[in-house]
Amino acid sequence: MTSPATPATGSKAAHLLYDANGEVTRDAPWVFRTYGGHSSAKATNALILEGLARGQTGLSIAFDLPTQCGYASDHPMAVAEVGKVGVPINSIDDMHAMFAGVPLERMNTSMTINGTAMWLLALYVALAEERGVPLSTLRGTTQNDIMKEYLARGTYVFPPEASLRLVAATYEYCGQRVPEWNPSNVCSYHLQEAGATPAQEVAFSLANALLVLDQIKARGELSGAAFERCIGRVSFFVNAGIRFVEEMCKLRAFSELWDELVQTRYGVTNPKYRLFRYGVQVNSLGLTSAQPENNAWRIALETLAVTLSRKARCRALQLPAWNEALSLPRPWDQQWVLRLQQILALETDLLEYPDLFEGSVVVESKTAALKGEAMALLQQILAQGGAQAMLESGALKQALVASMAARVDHIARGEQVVVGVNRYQEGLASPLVQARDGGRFVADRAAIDDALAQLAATKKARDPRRVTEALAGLTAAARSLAAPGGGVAMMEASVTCAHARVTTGEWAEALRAVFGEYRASTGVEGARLALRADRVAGLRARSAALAAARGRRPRLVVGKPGLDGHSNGAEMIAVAARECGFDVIYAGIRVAPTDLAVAYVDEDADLLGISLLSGSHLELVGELVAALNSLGVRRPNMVVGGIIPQVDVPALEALGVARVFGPSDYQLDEIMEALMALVEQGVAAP
Amino acid sequence: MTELARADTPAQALAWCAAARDGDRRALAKLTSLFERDDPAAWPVRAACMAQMQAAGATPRAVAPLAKIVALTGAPGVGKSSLVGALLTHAMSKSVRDVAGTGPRIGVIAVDPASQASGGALLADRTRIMGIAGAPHAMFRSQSSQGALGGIADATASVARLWAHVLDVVFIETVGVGQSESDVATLATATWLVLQPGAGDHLQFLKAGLMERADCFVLNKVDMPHAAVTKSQLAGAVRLTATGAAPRPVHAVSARTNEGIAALWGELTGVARATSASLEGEVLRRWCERELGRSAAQILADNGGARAWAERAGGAEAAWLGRVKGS
Repeated sequence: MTSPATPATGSKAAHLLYDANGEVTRDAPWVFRTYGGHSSAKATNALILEGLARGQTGLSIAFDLPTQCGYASDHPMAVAEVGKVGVPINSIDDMHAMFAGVPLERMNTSMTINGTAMWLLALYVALAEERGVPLSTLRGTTQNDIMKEYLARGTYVFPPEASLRLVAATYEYCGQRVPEWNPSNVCSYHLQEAGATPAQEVAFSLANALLVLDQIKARGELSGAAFERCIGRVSFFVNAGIRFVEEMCKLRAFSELWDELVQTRYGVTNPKYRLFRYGVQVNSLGLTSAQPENNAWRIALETLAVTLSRKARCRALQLPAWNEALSLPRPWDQQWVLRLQQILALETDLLEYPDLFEGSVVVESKTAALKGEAMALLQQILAQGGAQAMLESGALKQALVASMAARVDHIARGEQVVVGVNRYQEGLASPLVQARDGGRFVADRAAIDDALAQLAATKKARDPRRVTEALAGLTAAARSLAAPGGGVAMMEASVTCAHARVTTGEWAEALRAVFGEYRASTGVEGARLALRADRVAGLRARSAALAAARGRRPRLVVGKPGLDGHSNGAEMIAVAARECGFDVIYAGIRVAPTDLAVAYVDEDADLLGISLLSGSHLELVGELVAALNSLGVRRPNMVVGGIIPQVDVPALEALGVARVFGPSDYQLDEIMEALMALVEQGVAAP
Repeated sequence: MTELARADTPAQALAWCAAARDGDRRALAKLTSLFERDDPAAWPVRAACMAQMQAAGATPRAVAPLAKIVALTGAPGVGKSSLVGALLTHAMSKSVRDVAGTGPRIGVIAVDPASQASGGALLADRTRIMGIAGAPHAMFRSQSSQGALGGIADATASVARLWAHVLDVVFIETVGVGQSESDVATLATATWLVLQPGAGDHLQFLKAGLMERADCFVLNKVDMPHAAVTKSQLAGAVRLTATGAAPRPVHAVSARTNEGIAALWGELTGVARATSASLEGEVLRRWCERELGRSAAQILADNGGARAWAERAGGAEAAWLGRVKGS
């Protein structure tokens, strides 16, 4: 939005903003969102209404893992995860409950949903239809970004080819029926969380955007003016880290590169459709569990990166809470960080000015450098067949694992300073974590039972014939997804399913039967992690000693049970253990507890390490121990790592877990020594 | 006192042998570790186990004594693990089960390279097929190559020898390319080379020495574009290198869509079963090479080969028990 010249009203001050009539004006604030959802649709509805009353201006819905992965709440893989990291949505009845009292025609709703994005959009559309709300008034976003799911987040369902077609299909449908909706957010956020450098973040996500647009172009459903409008609908979801000056330049680079790319590659002339539109959540990876109150300052500084420069300002902002590294935030924690947005937008003078950095020698130089780096990386990716090829070959994943390893390494050596962690660790204890509930949010068991009851009620009340017909229609549409009009047909079939009270699990299962299910590459192959040389030498000697004494190296199985797909921690452990001389069987993500137990037995491992971040540790460890017992293993040697609240450690130990590693146990050398000691103890006294 | 002496007594190991043949997964896993151990204290126990199994005769369900051993080799990324998963799944299907309703027991030894620097290894072949690898009829063991060239460790030969007496089919999954004597092609009764589309034109196929060692060629990922071109190039190269009457079989499969998997399974009917002699011979030859060093080949040639030399020394295990001083 540039201010037009209006000579009739006299000269303009360079530091003021002018509207179309030449009057001095002020920018409207970005959309204030809070990412949330838990336990049940009804509980989440209360959260939403509370948030709106507190001054949120847009919604950002977090869904639970079963919903994200295409399972109904009563599925065996789902049971331990229902309602933990987000809201369970099993059918349109849950949508009615979640959006009770929310005016859809005036709301801006962002849904963080990917593998099952088409389904959630269909549910939203069906909800609007049942309420008589015109689809043209619906505004919001489905994240619908599969690349980062394969790379970093793990809630994909189908293979890349099919998933891309589904993304293209949502663009085709929205282009025709829901023109104000953002069918997807090209995500760079998760790449940074997985360790990407700024240039990697920009290059990988631009490659991702091109992948989606090329797919849409190839399908030919949207062409000419419609395709240009579609490009104008592409939006991004980015991250902002603690190096906030560099991050601001990164966003300027992003804007300029996007503008250039859509002109050169797709010939878009209308400047409105070349805008880099993005929403943000600031960095969570760098938030610490040590001295967690410091995170409030970090979040504030990171917010500057995405708000200071008008040219590269976000359209929507959601902020993590200060206690993100401890557990899921409570309503108060989210309220507190929402106030930061409100104060910045409404109390300060930030929104009164044109871009503050235009003409800045330093900013423009740094931006140009980042642009060059990102562009070179992007050219490399395109030369090697584009994002999809590099995804399927595992090359992109390996690049991220390498960056993460480098980061962990720098922090361990103190080369990258993290206050409270590797510098200034001593200080007074925080009063903020001494609150009665330990400063953490715990999912409401009663509400979860309520969600399950609602699912049962829906299944009982619905017309089974209508369900069967709707699913048959969906299957047929899925088979013709590649045909002309196939995308729109598939969305319509999904909307029909929604009206028939088909469940999330049934929708996903029907499509799994057509598209197949997918297991992404792990990226650990070829990764190297430099640990402290003296500690590593000691550990390697101990591995060698075990090998000499009993003819086998220490043997570790590492895996993630349940549906949580954040695999970086597990990958780092696997790579580090290999560096120390272990034989590591890496079991991957989304492993059923029974399969992990069998792996422990079949591989005759010395130690089993599991990683859990979704809050379902008690249930899953229980299932794992039961499976091991049924295989004849009375006393397994087990460790658990991840986001485990201190208060749950005794229960885990009672189940037989030898050691729990929480977020404050981040020193890889120390973890390795602990693992080695456990192996040695197990060997000495089996 | 080594760990072995405390935990793996001969009596316990023999009990494991019986249990493993009855289908006890944990017993087989423990027994397998015993056979993997690079530990002289393990030799007498292993000898006792082999003696008992050889005396017991045929594996519980098989008609003929020992398992078929198939080496699956190919470059990283061609899909060996996924292929194994598809075959394991297929082995559960009705068409494969016998009259009694049970199917073949299948073992998979997946070998990955060890780190030169640390000696450790990242074993991720099981990852993609965690579910089926844990099925009742399957036994999946990941192994480090321990720095051996040619892709397999002594432990691989040792475990193959054990499993041949307990299971019906053993797959050995390696990246080994058949360049040296002590490789998987001599251990297995058949070698299947796995390739993927776009892996190179027909000249590349002809150049690699592995064309000669393979008994069968599997072109995986045939659902990918350009698969047809690669298939015809491969078939052409196979015809060119045919020495006998018929060119070796080429299977076009997709582990993802299951195309061609049933036909590939059928290839097993032509695969020979292992023999005690060949398995012992291979394990023994590797041991000799390690113990006798560079003069191994000459010493064995002068003494009528590893087998004859071992028999004179009182049987394979006895040979290992005795220390060789000179020839």
